[in-house]
Amino acid sequence: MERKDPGRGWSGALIALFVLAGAVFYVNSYFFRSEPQKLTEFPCDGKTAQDCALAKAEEFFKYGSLGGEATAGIPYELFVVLPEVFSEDLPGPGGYRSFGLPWEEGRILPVGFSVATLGMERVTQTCAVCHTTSYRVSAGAQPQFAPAGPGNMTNLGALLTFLGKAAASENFDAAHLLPAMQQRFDMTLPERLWYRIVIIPYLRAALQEQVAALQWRHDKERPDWGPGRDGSMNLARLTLLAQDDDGAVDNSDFPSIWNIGGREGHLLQWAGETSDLMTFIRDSAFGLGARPGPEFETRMRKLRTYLIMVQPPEMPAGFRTDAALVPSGRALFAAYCADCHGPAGKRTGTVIPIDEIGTDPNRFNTWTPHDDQLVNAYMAGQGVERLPMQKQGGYIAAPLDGLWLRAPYLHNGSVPTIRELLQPPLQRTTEFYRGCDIVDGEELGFRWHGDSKVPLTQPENCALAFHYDTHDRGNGNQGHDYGGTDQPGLPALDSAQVRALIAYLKTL
Amino acid sequence: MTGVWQKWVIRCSFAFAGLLLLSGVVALYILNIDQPERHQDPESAFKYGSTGGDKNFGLPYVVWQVLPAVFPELLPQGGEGYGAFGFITESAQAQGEAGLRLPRPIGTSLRNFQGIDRIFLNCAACHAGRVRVPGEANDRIYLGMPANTVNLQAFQTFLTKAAADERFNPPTILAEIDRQNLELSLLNRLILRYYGIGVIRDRLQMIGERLSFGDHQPEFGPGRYDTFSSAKALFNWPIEKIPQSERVGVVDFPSIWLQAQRDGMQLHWDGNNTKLSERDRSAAFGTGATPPLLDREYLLGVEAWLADLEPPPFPVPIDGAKAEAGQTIYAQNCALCHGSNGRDFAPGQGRLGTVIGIGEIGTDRSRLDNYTYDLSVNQSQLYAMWGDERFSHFRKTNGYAAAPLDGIWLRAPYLHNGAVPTLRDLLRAPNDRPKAFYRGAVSYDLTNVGFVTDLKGIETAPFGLCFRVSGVPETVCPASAAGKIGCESGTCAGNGNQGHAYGITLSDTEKMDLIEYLKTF
Repeated sequence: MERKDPGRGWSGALIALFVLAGAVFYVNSYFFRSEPQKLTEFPCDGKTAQDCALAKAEEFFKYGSLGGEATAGIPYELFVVLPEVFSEDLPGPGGYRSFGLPWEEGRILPVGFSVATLGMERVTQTCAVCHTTSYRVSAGAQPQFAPAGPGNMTNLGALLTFLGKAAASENFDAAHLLPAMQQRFDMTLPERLWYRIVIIPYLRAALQEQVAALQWRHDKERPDWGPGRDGSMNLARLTLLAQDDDGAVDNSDFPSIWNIGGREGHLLQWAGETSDLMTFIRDSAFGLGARPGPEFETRMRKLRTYLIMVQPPEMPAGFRTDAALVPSGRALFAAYCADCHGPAGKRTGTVIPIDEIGTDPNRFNTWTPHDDQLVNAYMAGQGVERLPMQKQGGYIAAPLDGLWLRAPYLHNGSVPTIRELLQPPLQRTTEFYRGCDIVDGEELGFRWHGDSKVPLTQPENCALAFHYDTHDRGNGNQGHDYGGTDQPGLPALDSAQVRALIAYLKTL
Repeated sequence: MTGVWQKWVIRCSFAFAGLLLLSGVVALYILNIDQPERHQDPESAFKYGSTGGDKNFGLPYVVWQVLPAVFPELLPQGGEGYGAFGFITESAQAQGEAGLRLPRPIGTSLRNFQGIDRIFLNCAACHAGRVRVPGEANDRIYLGMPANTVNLQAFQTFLTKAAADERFNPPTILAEIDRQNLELSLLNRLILRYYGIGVIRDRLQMIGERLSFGDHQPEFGPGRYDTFSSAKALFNWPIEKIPQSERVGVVDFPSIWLQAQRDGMQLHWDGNNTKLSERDRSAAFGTGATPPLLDREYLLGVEAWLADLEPPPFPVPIDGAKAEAGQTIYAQNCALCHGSNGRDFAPGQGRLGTVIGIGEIGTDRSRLDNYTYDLSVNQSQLYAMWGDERFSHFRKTNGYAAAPLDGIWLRAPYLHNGAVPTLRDLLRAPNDRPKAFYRGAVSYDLTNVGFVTDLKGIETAPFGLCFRVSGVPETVCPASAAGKIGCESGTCAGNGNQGHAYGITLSDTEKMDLIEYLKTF
């Protein structure tokens, strides 16, 4: 009724504006203040410049942020308490180690996880989570890690399932998560409120959404990935591009990506769909949440440089008691394998037609020319600079560097050891355990059975070993019938020759 | 009329709002109260100071004080009060001199946290012991020695069982508080009645459940606990998913004198950490002190005091001539792994402070296997985001650490699992060492160097236990009212007394000379 002094209205609005600006500033800095990531630095004295550069680049490969914090980051405080709060959903004791993740002593996260500040400390994945090999030289030995090798122990499927179960649980709330976080971290009252009101509900919804987008893993009777594998083509087709599920299975091993300079000009991916190294790196990083931008390019170049530098570790001398057989093995390799697998082989890095190689066709069939079009258009729309993907006619013949750490063999990891691979397909074992990291120097591969092959028992001291059945869809162990059966000009190898060839393959 | 009503409604609303505001302010004030009992001298601080764990696990003092009276039959048989678990209580005068606001045993702290006095354990609970020297009338209390009488597992079992009992309810507990004339403010009484006791009950049950790893191994008895199964419990690793071979981790409490010289050595029985301060913060977890709660002032004070705290001398005169002969034997047989003598163990001496591989040392491997690579990396997440305090030195090893022997006379029974009662027995071939003996006696055996181990020695000790070596049949360990048997005959995994077969071929005279020399440590 009374007339207000117009000045009062203005000052009120001004105050409101200031408060609003302050709030925006606060919220923005709480959630989005970005800081350069601090990676562990190594003293370089006593090292050659090259070793020093390699150590730095390796640190970035293992723990360096790809910039996916905004799209795929989980606050560190929350990430570390998930295994504690949802321990009954873990495959075993050991926290994140129960997913077989490589984890170096003294590190706050497993290899393949980055912590970087975007508002808060956020955890994202790096390439190394699927591309770091774990191995033990004996059951009692400690695990060692070979970066850029196949992530033989990484059970990505189990990790995703765990996150899904956690997000689906009614305990994914402030009442259960905050007390666990407060046991470890100093949580101020505003922080607790943010977690309660915004972060936990948001993250829960985001995880649930992610799980829904991965539901196809459990549909159409798809076999489990198990440790060391994923379905990368289906991840692109069914999750990223959200196509209708046609039931295709493409379960395949994480490949080694070391010494990648040796693969320049080769076709990449198991079925050769990518022809360019940078495209391969950019696409993979995009899948981990990284988005194009100036920093994106710098990071991709750093990764490329590292992957060219990094070499597979040599097989320890203790396994090389057969070194005297290497010369005769080398001759056998030249005759039997070098055409497709030698560094200068004329078919190395090309695709071997599917009918010729004869291995399980599921992975090959999964990717279609239609997928080429869709993904090429999608990535162009996202601004990712790349050469287009293109469907090929079979599986690639890859170089065999670091072969001793690349078991199990073939694209789908269906053959546990080289000795098994050199048998005629019908005589190869039809079931075995994968996801054991104890090196088997006799057969060349990892231990795949306990004290008995028939009936099959789980290898001792390998609690995470996963039962692999070659009868499952996409798990076939047929094809690549070289050395086991008489071929034109290449008679089947006898057992002495197999030993010699294995002795040579250990040197790669 | 309506005007008057309106006025009253407005007045009441204001009064109500004011009251609300006032109680909010009061509540905020109370919730922010955090006053640990502090002490003048370092000894008292060690005995009665607070790690901060009482903010986490602390029981209201009044509740703590009445539990033994409410649940007398849950105490170890023949025991009374907290002495039943082997906790040491000093005289009222000594407690007064130490500056205690409220009476309590050594190894407990007191802190007014959020308006109520809370009590829980500190370092001294596991690292202070007592000894009865033959011919003396009273026990000597020594700080820094292994808590030879404290039966932490029995204490834990008591709290868990009490919490599961129907008598753990507000009326029963408050009635006993009144009967004992304990001071309790009206506000705290209301809080306990309508909130606190229920919360304590749930929390004790939860903790008891998490710490159930003790059910899967031989009973600990006095002077022992399983440190790293506790760490696994902290991470909530389900015990039933842990392989059998990794479940047994029970070991003796160590002595904690002369710490400064130990920095950089492989610490803990298996040598899994080389950083003293990390090892200490890790130990503080055992008292409930998590990173946000740790009382850094207290811990730094204790660390500074322990840096060069000397162990007490052997209580009776030592035969100089024999000890001198023993010194030569020590130099030849022991010094490479255990250092020049009981005081000089500067880093870098021979194999001192390093891990001796399990194949070489040959002692019981359970504790070694209990600590896993997976645990070591998970521990690297502790104190993360706390700057330099972060744990980064935990490592999986493959043996047991060769430790300095300062104050070795008070560190019986011997070996990491306390499987050998005296030094004299340790110098016997493994097969000739005692198959079973009683732990928990305070009476000292001056000749063999160690505590008395026969049934008579612990008849008055409700916390005592017959320790049976792995694989030993029932008959050798007669149970009695006082002495319980800690494990099923023929099993007792983790209680092996094999290995460390050094000095076993010395002559009897040489052995006694060597022991005489070790008394000087």
